[in-house]
Amino acid sequence: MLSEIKRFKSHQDKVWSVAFNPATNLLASSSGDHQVHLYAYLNESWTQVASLPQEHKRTVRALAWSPNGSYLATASFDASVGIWEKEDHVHDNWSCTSVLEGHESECKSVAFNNSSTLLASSSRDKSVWIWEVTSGNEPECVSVLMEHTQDVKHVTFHPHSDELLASASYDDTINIYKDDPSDDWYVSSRFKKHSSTVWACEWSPSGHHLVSVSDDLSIIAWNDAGVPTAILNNAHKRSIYTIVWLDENYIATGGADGTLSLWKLGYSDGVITKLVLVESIDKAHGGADINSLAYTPKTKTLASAGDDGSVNLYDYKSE
Amino acid sequence: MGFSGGLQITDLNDFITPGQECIKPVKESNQPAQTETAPEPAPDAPTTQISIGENGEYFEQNQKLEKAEITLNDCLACSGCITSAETVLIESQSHKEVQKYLSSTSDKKTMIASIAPQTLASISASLGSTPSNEILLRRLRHQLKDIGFDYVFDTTFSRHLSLVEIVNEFNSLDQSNRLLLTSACPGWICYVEKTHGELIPFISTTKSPQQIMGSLVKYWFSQHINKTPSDVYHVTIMPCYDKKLEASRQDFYSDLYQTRDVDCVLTSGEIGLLFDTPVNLEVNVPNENSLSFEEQVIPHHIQHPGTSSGSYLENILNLLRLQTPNLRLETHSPRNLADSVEYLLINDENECVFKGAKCYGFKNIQNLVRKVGKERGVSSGRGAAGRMAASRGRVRTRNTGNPHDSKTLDFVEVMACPSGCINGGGQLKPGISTDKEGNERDWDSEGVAVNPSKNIEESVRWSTKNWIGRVEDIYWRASEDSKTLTVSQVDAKAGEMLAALAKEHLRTEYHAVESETSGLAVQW
Repeated sequence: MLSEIKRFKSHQDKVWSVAFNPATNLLASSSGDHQVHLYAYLNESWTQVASLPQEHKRTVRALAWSPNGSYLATASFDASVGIWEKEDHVHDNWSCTSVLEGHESECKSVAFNNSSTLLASSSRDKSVWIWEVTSGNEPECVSVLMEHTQDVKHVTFHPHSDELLASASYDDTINIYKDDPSDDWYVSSRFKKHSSTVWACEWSPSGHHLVSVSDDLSIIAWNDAGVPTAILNNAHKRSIYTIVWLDENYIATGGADGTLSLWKLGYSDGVITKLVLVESIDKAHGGADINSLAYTPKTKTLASAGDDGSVNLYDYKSE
Repeated sequence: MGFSGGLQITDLNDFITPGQECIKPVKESNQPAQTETAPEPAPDAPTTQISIGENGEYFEQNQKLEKAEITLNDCLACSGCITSAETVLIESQSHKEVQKYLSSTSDKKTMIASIAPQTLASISASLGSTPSNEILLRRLRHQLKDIGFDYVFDTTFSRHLSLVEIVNEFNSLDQSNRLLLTSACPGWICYVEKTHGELIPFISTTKSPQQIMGSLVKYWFSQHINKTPSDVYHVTIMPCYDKKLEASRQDFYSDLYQTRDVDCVLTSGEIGLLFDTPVNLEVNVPNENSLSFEEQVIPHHIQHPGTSSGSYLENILNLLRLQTPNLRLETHSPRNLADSVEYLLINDENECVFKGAKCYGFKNIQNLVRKVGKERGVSSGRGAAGRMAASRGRVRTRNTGNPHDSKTLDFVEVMACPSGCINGGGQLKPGISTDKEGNERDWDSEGVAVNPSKNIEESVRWSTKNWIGRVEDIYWRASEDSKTLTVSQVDAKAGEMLAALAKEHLRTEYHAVESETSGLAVQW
């Protein structure tokens, strides 16, 4: 189902994040070497095309492209968030147009909403910030959410609703935020089941399901009421850092055990009730941690980022 | 502990949280090793090893390390974190301290309490019968005198003085290039001094109502009762924990009299802690319908139309419209938020001659800081001021489609709390099953219900919003009997006091806190 097609040894340090541009043929990776690299799908294959000018003073922990493909956001341990826009019409010439400061300590994650109008950032300072990004305008802070008691590891907007945001934290919980247009964003529910750090959570492409992965070695599928419908314990041998949806039926996970796992989801009455391991690639990064996974349905390519400094690409074929 | 238990259950995004690590440098005189012996270090131990002794003391190379103690003054002098009194235990600013003074037998000080109107509204909202603020104050006064207070005031007249003085300050600015940011909110001031020192030139130097009340009590009222400032112990009751920080500022300490303008600040939620047995504020007290001595000496219950956070902006708007009657007022709120509104005064030529703003809550403060930084060309490079990408930055300006976008700000009423002081961190909160007087409360029957169709998070939010609305309503409910003084009488009284008080009692100053670097703050 997964076959490795490429391995980029382009970074000098751990690769922390990979992300595909949903609108173009670009892939970005970020690293502990403070760099962001761009790769493009050209002539039926992936090639490294650019390194962005160095803007961050420390590790670039996370990346996110806006759904419309116009912006790239970078979250750095230097406590800032960079917003990058395409220069002219050269597809791989991106430049930093805004640096958002406000977080008190390391930024851990960034995410755009479906309309590409809002950017969320999270940090070790326990907060989640929401920024309004409209082209040509300076970003404005829309909300500062202090709803976790610890480091916020991950943020993600709902794939279809601009008014829903999820955050996963070191405090073992997931918060779901809603936008009250007459007031502010607020926590509408808190998902509690994990017994350790929730490293990531992602909505399914349909937006009906949320799956989270944790330090407690479990994968949990949640319904929209925050009820776990499937819990798979010991899904990995060590902390699970990342999860990506390939389609409504398959997810991939990776973490500190270095194994890249592909899971088939079983549904019953419209909710996920089981996860079945269909494939696992041991030592996908030579035994090093897998920090981030990304998938693009356009070329059916799965990307992984590892502590070994490499970005791996896999071809995905559904059954 | 003294901090109200209800505080945790709110979901308000009050920005003031402790920083990640306190970087207070520990200054210690490394005296020869004490009698306690440190554990024997391993032979290959690094030279800077810190070990822990049997009783939990810390040793560095056989030297017992001093335990670091953090006081309020350390927090005020440190830029290590954005802290608030909510999380720092402040011995000198607690109800126990007040009780100590109340119960002292040898040369007891004259005990004076001054209560903020937002506090009265908050307490009133928690009572089933919601007495008028005026009656409530008289009942509170009665109860406070019962436990040893000598005089009990409200702070509306000192607010009036603060509003008069800020007009003087605003009028002294160059009309073509002026910007005044209010300074009554200590959370905002704390943030500016630590993170955005570049804004200090624009911060109003007029003292807050609390501090002017301090001046009034210590330097005017004390004379009135033939006492010296240091004979008086002055407690204020405030909707805000950060008022404790404000009262503790060195600027409000008199070396001459060895006394602070305000000796101790208690919050709305803490006032109940002064009483050993719960007091019932719903029953009548003697003479609650007649003017007290305090009310005859200092005007009380003065309403200032505008906001429940002091009406600073409204005050300036009124002044300008009085000077130029045909100015048209336009309001703009980019995202339709009550906490972020611009007020434009436009003349007959369709020119915007004044742009004011109300800016409450941390997120709106972030945008204010960015806007002022851009308009004034100042930036600290710290905090959320934001910077353009070092190179290649495209010039971005906020375009809201309003023809007066280019007009710079003249005056901003800034408050750190969403909804302002009425929602201060020290206010009583909904959802506590008993009120401060120990009475069981049934919120459902009083329209502060928890909505059963919502989950718990939504319910708390829903009831909190309703609660703030309720306190706001009570705040504005006119107190029927208090119209004993006309506006002109109040103004005359204000003129008298302002003449009596030296300028130093009306103005203050601010100090940027330089970032200290210490080993603990090293970034790697």
